[in-house]
Amino acid sequence: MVVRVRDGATVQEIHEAIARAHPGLAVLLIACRLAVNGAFVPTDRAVTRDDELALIGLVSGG
Amino acid sequence: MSVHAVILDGPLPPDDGSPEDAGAGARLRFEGIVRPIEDGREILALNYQTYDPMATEMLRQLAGEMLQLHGLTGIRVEHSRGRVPVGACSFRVTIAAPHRGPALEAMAEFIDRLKRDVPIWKRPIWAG
Repeated sequence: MVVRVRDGATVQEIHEAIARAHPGLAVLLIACRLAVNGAFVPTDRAVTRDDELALIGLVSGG
Repeated sequence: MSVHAVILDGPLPPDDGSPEDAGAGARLRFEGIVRPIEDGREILALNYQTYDPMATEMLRQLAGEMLQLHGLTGIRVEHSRGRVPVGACSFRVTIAAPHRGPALEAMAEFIDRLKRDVPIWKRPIWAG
């Protein structure tokens, strides 16, 4: 998945960019969170070029 | 006080250890077993996918949080990755605590939060 955002974009901005780029996923995205470098972070956290992002949907472990 | 959390390939082996329980008056074990029916249909197994190392690290952090929050003497967590057949164990939590109240509370909270947050997914492998 590729989306373009400004330098220093926050997790929230990236989430919104994904929703705009993939409107068919809008309903699913409501239940998704972005993990940065293997951890959930506050949505106002700015992301750098070296960060690894993962879009985590509804989980079903346990 | 000990925290142990691990993700293993396939069904979990028989329980081979208890968490540190020096001073414990209660030891509690939960095992998640793969049921034969999912959504009203028969299955052969569940296939678990994990996003690692995040899943393992979250299990470890969550277990440590329960240890501190509930005053446990130890907590041990194991979860499967990959195929686990019906009847086999895919998830195990063992808790030791001075008293049963905190042990029961920690067990319930740990499982609730794992099911809400930890990046592990299961997919049924249908029969027939």
